[in-house]
Amino acid sequence: MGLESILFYYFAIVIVATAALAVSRRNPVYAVLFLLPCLVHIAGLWLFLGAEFLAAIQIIIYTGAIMVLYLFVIFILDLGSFRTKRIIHQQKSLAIAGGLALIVQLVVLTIASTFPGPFGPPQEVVSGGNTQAVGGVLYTDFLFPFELASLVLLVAIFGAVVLARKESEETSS
Amino acid sequence: MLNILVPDFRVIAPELILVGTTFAIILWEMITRTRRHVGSVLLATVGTIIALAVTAGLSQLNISTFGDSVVLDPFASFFKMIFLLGLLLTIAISSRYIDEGEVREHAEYYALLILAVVGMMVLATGRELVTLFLGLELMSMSLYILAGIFKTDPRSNEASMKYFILGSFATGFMLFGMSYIYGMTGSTHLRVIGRVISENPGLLANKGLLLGLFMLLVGFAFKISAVPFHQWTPDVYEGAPTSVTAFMAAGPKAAAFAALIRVLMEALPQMKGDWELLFTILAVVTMTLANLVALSQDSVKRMLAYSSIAHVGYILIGFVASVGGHADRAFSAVMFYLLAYTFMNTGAFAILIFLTSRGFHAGHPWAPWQCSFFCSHWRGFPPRQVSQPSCLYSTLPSRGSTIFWSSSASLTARSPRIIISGSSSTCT
Amino acid sequence: MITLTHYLVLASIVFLIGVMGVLLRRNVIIILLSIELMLNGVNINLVAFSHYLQNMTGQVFVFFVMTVAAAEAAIGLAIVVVLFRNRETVDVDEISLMKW
Repeated sequence: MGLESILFYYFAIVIVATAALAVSRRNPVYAVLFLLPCLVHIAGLWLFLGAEFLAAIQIIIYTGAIMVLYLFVIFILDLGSFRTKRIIHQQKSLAIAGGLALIVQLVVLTIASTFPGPFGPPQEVVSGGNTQAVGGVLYTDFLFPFELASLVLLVAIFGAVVLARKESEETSS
Repeated sequence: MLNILVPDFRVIAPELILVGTTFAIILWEMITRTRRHVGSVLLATVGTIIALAVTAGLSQLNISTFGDSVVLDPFASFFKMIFLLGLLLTIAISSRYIDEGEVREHAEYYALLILAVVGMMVLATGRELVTLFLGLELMSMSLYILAGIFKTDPRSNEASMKYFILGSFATGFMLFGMSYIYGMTGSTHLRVIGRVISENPGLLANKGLLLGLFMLLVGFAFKISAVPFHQWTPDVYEGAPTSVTAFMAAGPKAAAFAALIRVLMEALPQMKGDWELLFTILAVVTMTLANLVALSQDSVKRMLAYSSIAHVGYILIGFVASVGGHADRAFSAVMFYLLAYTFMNTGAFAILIFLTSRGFHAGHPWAPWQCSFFCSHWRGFPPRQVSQPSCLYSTLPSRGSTIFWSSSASLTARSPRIIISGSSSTCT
Repeated sequence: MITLTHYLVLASIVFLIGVMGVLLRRNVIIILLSIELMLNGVNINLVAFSHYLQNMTGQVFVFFVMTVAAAEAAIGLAIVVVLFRNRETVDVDEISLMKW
């Protein structure tokens, strides 16, 4: 087994194990803490695939910002000590059956499918490397979605402001 | 020589006007700090009417820009006008209802309504999977917030939570499908996908592409609330503020249908055989189940929710019919159906708002008549008689069994709703 | 030899762990985390395809998925805060004024 295989299996096992641990924890704080190494290892996997820019973004945005946001909310609401009566949802048999069907379907279809391979010439690798290549595509072909993303973020700001503002503060102001 | 490509802003002119209106509303509220809704309502109405006029003026064009990722064709213009009409009706029924619900964030309420419409317009005009995805998210996120805008009402909170969880869940499936379609064809542009598939016929037998199609359709089925994926609809419709429910029941569904039609016709027309079967099953199950369950509901809003689910079933027949070689006629029937549905549905909810605040007897003498008018669409009064049979019969000879099967299901499924609407008319 | 299929199978497993989390768990925070996992499964898919096809579109797609994930997290957590303020619970089985 070459170095590449060893590293891939290391990353894959850690990702799957931490993901499974994260969704099965009773305490949401532990869930977030297990998700952190999962996301970091996904970033590591992307380094293999030549996506350095995304690997950096994954660590900065996902682990650095989104997961910390989750932790903040959990701590502010003091949800760490919150206990649901049962961990698992009532309709579990249905969900497990559906989930197993999906697993079989996804994995079998993925293995059964052949990949027709690259279409057309590979996009030229710019001297500036991966980041420059992403930027080049982002600001030419994907200019319109890029502008739309700003509106999506604007809606997120509205949502946070409208929903999370307390009524009592408003009446006093 | 200067050779800079300037985007053709006519393609996204109504969107730009609406975004400008959003900013105007927010700024107006910031400057005046008023508690009264009049300013927001006026600005929103004026902006919508200007956007409607511009859309109507540009409706004959067929142009695209931003590297062909957004396109303005008569199809897109038609849907844009549906959304703007829905928005106008929603603004009209919102002002007093939202005021009585003591929503202090009225500027944000109207801004979010308008941004949701921008998202719908992007869904109708996008010709590229990333653009469609962002349009869908813009629309859905605005709706998640709007459903929960009655912050102190636990039912509204709950509706918002359920809508959010199931909506994001559906988005996950849709993205998974998109990733496989991209992986199999090497592009996210609908036309390029269609070209690659027609140039490589081997792809049609490829399990990966099939998986991509399946997951994409599961995501869409959640968004349009077709039957195995409909459970969120009654709860969200019941819990959300009624004006928001009226808005959600019409525009977002039409937008999801618009995107679905464009994806199927421009990117995946070669896979007709696969999606015909899926849509036949979805249509039959949706029509039958929704109509039967609607009978046992005791809340008017829940019954209206099941009614809207049943309508989705009728619209899906149009997709089945499109396979028969008359795709243009089938889809123009679907478009007409959606227009009539938007108008009638918003009207029914408007009456509901009117009645919950006044009551039938104390209300306006015309109210019962209006109610039975808007409810008459359950009986299939204008839309189905005009559109659906014509598209069905045009394809009946060529397509045999599946069409016949689903259309007869449509006829049998209609009988319970005649009873419902009959009883609702006698109630008045 | 690690092929594209290896990455895709890994991505499906991560995606499905997320799906099972959404379907089975009752704690809203964990459901939100499971949705993040689903999106990460999709992202692995996209980056793997992008590498395999020698085409940057997949990576740009991931960039947008992350943007949307951040926005979704903000809205989802805001909804959780409001819900908790009114109902003092994050258990989806107890959130049943209406049928779940």
